Amino acid sequence: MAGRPELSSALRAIEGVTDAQAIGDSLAEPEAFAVLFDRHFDAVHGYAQRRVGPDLADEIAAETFTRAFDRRRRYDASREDARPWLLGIAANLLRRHWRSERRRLDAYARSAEFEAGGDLAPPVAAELAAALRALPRREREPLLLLAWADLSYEEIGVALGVPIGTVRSRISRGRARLRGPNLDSHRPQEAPNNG
Amino acid sequence: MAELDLLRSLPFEIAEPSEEARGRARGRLLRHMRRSGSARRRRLLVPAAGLAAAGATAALVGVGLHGDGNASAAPVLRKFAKVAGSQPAPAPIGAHRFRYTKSVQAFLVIDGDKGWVALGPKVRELWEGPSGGLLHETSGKPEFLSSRDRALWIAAGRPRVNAPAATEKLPPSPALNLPTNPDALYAKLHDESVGNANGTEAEMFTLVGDALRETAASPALRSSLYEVAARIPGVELVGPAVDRIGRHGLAVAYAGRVDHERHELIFDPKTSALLEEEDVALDGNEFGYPAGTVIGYATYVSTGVVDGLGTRPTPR
Repeated sequence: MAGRPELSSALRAIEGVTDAQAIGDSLAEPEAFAVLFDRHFDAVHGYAQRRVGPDLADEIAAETFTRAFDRRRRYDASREDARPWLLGIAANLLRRHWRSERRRLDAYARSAEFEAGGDLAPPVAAELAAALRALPRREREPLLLLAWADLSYEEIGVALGVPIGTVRSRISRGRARLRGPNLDSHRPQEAPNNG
Repeated sequence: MAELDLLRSLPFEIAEPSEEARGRARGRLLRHMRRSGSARRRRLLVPAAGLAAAGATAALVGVGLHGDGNASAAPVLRKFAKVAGSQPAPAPIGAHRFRYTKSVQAFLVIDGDKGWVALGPKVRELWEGPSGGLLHETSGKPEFLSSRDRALWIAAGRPRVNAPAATEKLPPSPALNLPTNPDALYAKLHDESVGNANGTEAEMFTLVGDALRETAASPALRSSLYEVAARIPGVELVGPAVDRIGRHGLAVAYAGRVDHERHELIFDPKTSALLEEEDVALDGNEFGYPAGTVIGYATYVSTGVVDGLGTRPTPR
């Protein structure tokens, strides 16, 4: 996901129109909205994929854009970059799939051969997945937008429709809750003793 | 940031979406845009929004039913269909003849950073001529959803809620291109609505509202639109209502089960003109606002024919 903001800025520069302008244009010319899809589909899909896996991500990412189109009149035109707004819509859709997300985290937490990812020791990853599953949604959502979608605090506020101060405190609480004994002593490939 | 690094290293394998999935999603969006996105579509925010008939001096006469919000609006809408059909045709526009409409429209302005939400009313004046038009907008006083929103806005240093006054040139309005036969009109609007995320009936109600606020619709088409509205399942009679500038009318509404919003239209029973539209949040709305919160409105104030872009009609 790193590098995507640079990419979308470059595209915008090439195409000479901001997301906000494209959305404004789409009020009279609906086709203008397609540029939003071309710029942000992969980011939305990637975020959904981390949350619920590839199959559901296809559906959620697709639905995100049709919903965004329906709501485009409410778009705050002072926000040039529509990615936070789109991720906020995706986050709303993901709420319906909490069961899938939970199952996914459970599977990771239980998995004995949790080694696919490389630099996390299996018990650490297992505990992290369990801790994430246990987080209240209001804390999990902003934390994951920060960690997995590379949004800034301000952008998370836009995505979730909450003030930036609230974003800060929720993320801070969420991070504190994730800090279990294993996570504190995290060292790559070294299993803590109570995993 | 240790926790964030840990989260980022969770070995959830992420692959680029397949070309097939991307293509399917893009096709779905394009179809959706075609179905639901023509230039003058969608309630409330339409630049070409205007008044449907002359005269803003309605008195509540004629139909006079008292609905409880659950009664079918069909009988009332059929009376409107009759009234609409007997109205004079809209004054033609041409060289030195522009249709002027004035409305007040308000939509939610959300400040995600500071946390306040307000309705930002705009006074919209629109001139339409055969080769283009002019839109002039000025901002009204913000209406905060709650005292907390107002306090947050004050704490944020009272930022501007709406854009400053602006004037822009508009291209000519596209023709309505709708059949005047009620059966054909119903079929056409139904076809356009099937598959809409908000539900077929909700979308049909929106489409009818879109066309009714058009100034160019003929009496025959307006009559047919009311007949179609009468056939849409779920359209409710709200009953007598007074709009924001004190005019009496009759309100009908559709409560969306998907968007959890109620869309209300107030008509003048004497002329069938659309006086006002209002959107109200219901339980379960995406913003989490209390049920009954008004999240948008449009009041159609006046209309007339003038001889120049920027010229206002003489008050009667």
